[in-house]
Amino acid sequence: MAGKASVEFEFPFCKVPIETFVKSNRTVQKNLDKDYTVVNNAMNTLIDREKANPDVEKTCNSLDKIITKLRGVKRKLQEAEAESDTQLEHFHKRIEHLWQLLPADQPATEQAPTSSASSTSCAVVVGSEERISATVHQTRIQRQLVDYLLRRGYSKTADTLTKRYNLQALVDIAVFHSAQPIIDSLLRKHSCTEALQWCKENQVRLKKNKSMLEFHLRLQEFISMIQKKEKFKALEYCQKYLSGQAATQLGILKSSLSALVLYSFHPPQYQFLFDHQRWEDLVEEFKKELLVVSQLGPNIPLHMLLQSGMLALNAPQAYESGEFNPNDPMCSQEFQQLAEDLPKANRKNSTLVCRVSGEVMDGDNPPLVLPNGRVYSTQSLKKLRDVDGTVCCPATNDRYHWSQLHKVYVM
Amino acid sequence: MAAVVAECETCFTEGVSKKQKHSVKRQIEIIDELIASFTATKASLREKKETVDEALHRLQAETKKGQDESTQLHKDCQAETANLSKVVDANFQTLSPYMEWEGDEKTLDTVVAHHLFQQGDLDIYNAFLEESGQAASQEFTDAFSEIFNCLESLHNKDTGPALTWCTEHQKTLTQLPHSENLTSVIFQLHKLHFLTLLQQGQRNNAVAYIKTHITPLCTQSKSVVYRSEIGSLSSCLLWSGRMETSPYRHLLTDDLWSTACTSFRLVACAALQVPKDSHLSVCVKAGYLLLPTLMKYLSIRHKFGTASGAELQMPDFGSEFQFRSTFVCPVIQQISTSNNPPMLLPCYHVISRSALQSLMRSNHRLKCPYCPTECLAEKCKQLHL
Repeated sequence: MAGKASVEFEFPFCKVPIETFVKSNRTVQKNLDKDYTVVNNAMNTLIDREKANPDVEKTCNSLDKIITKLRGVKRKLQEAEAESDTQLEHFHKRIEHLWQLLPADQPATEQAPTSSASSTSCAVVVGSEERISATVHQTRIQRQLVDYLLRRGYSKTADTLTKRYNLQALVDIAVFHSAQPIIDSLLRKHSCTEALQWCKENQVRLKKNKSMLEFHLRLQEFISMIQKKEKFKALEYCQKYLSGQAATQLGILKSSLSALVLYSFHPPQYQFLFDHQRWEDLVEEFKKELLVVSQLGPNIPLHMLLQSGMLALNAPQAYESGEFNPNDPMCSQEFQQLAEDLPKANRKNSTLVCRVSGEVMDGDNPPLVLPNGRVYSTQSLKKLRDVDGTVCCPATNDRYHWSQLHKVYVM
Repeated sequence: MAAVVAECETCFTEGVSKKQKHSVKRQIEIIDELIASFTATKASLREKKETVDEALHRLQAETKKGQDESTQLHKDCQAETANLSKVVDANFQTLSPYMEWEGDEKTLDTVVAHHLFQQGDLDIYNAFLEESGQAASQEFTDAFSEIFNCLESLHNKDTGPALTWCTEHQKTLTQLPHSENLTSVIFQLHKLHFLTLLQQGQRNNAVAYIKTHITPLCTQSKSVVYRSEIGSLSSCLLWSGRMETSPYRHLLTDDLWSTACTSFRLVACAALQVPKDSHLSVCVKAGYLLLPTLMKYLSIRHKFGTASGAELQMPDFGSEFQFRSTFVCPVIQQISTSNNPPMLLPCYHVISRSALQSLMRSNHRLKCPYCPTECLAEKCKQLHL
């Protein structure tokens, strides 16, 4: 199996802007249609009015009104044009970024050819990823960081980071920004109106995913009516919006209706319905649905990338005190904690790294063993060699002659 | 994937983008045409060129036509977008997790904070600390503060603080490879300061500088490189004040400054035992490298369960991820740890201690799995990699 590029996993990166684009086009067209209909109706009225006694001046005045309306439509269209251009430009930048993430050359060789799907090793050729430049790497990491910050709700940091590194085209900040007023209205104003509006706009997708968000929002509105003691209004509301789900949601409906009837007695077993926690739960549910509907996906990519990285780097030696390397993430307390449940990597081939130079010891720079069992690279030992042909071991200070050193063969 | 991205690009540029731009323009044109028509109708009505009824019906028909065209334009655009969407759906995937994320959120926030700090975005770091409700980790930031100070001055083309730091640490960083790299950095910094003096036309100061600081480095270090550099630097003296016209004007680029910054940062981080790149970026980079293999492994495991016998084999990562020696015993196919260290056989081949013990026969002799040499078990030494 040849290794594919990690670009394959950029589904949200490609899909979300398309979704946004389709939605905004749809909204613009809907409004435009409405405007056209208004003009049409105005024309109808005008025609009817002028049938009997056609008056040129009156007609011209009415036509002026319609012209003003049309000018307003034109202005709206021009705004929409600017927005559309930005969206197109952003998508173009995303495609550019995708190209940057693809290495110039295709992977040269294939290892471990396997055809049957149930076969074992998933060996892969690396090397294609490494040819990506450092700046592109940084951009990619910044993108994932902004996504993480937005999902966790750290929007200020996300905003500043986006501006600082010019990531506006590459991150989906707009999705989260559009959600903020809805979240605020749920939490602070205890109002479901904006959220229900959002549900209406996205009803096709929500229905496909069998979402209960709308029902929960309606239920919350019903409960609010109970609290405001609007008993009859609440009953009507319940009949209109909640009874449809009676089959599956009988339990909570029973409790709510009992709460309605018994409200003045403040029965303790129904107090949970009036808890602020319900609003917070609604917010969480809304956030989840938002992630699914917008195609951002419920999983946090940064989590998975870190898992993947920790799987790659999790060597058992990193946990040994003698093997501390400040550049190795797995030597840090934080990463060791995060990797608690992950298995330690198993490698196929040995890699020897010289403790002195940090260079890999290979055919060009072979490892030499000292009589005390310490191994260093040939180049480092040459640099450490004194004029008298002796070398002092960097670890133990034992002194040996160059002739006592020998090549060691590690496959 | 190159073909896929190319297809997306064509679909987008030739399809979506073109249609959208055309559609938007045309929509505005339609409205313009209607406005023009309505305005013209007023004139024609006043000039009695047509009756009110005729005019109004005509205008109504034009409006309807405009609306129909508008709807069609929209449909065409949505069709193109749907095509693009299909291409994306068919060829891209989302990441699926290896397992549920069990990591502590606070710990991850700390990791992110460290990353933001190391990037040098102090204000973003502080904003993040505030938003995530974390306290600043003083010991982490302190270790970096001296490096950042030096780097900031270097960005402002001032080599002072960096040179001070280097000379201070010259006494302590006597071991390889620090000492070598440190000398190289010091040389680069002196060279940059010398060039700055020359650009300002301070020839005498430049001469004094090269004598005091740069020539001694030449005698100290064993490297021949410095000697040849000094040759070209001395020649630069002839163009004091007008370096731009000299054949050495390539030395005036910012590249030298950025190289010096990078070299300094690497040496300083190594010396202070702090990571040169944020752990987050290293881990994510490694994560991306493993990603295709991991996703393939996960999809197989998902389809066929653990009975499939699929194993996650680590690919060979580049040297930037080699933090230490890893010896994989070819006999037991496992990484050596301090509990099971590598052992050197008299024939200079290496196997792990447990492999040695299992290969050992009752007479304490064993045969090397690589070459036909036999030896006594006691003759085998523990290797320190």
